[in-house]
Amino acid sequence: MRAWTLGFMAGFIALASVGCHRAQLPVLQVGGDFALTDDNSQPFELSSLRGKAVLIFFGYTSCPDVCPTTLSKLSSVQKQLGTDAARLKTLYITVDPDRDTPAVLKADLGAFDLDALGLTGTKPEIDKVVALYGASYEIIPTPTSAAKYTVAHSTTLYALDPAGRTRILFPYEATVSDIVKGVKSILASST
Amino acid sequence: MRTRDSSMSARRMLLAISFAVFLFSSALSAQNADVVAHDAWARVPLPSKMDTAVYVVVENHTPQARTIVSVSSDAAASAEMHQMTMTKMMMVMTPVSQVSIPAKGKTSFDPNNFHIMLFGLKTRPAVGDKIHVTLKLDDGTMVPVEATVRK
Repeated sequence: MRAWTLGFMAGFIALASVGCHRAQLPVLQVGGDFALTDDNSQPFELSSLRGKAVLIFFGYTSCPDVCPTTLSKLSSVQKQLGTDAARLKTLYITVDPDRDTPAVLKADLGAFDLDALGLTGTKPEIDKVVALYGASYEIIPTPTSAAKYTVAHSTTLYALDPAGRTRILFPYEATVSDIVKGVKSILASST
Repeated sequence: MRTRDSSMSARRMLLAISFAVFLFSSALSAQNADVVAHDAWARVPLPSKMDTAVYVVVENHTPQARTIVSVSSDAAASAEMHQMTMTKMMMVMTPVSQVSIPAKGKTSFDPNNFHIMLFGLKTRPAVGDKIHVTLKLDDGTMVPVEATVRK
């Protein structure tokens, strides 16, 4: 069984337990610290976010459906979290570093009402993070399209606790309220 | 007398029926063309992009299945039909050369399935603006689409 399948099973179990009071969220086997470049072209390390819950997802800004849908959803999550939103940071890691320069990431993320940081890097740097989180992506040439290529990518949203440990994997279909509940439960168990 | 009365009322009835049929058929031709597009919208482009996706519902009122064989728009350098699919939690975007609309049925271009991709918009549309797109069907029919720009 592939790593992502195992990860998902664990994630679903974690998600199911969110509803139960006092349930201890498991620490999932995917994830870990990494270093990339942020959308201000500055070096970024995940460890700099200790003390905050973190939501991570992989995407690319030329993606017309899944990425804007996820960003809009996360913007609603942030609103619904109220004061807890100050203890949450969203990271958007591009899997299309050729087109998604720091400037492009900054401009496009600015269109969403969301405290998100865009991250990019060299292909090997990004591949390392993708592998660490059990994510996946594939560049698919589309010679007949003006897009030249599209990027197939996994759509999982990773929720990390303030110690940087992955606690919940949300599938693309997760609702705003699923994610709000999950983040609240992560924050509650770490205070 | 009785015969004339009944023949007159029959004539009136016939007139009323034919008028009703006329009204009904003109309403049909206005709103129920063979294939119609409705509820069309487009995403406001991201700040660094001059591309956008258009979503629309296409209804086929005919008893024959129809196929959209191409899309075009004066608002952009090029227009293409794409399909988003989820396979094993992977999002895959694929250009498609045709999209079918079932007989007496409909096909939705929505964020979970097909969309019309406009590349190289000539001007940056704002929320509320209209973008015009034309769908060409396999029988040569052109179906106009007016998409409202949304966030």
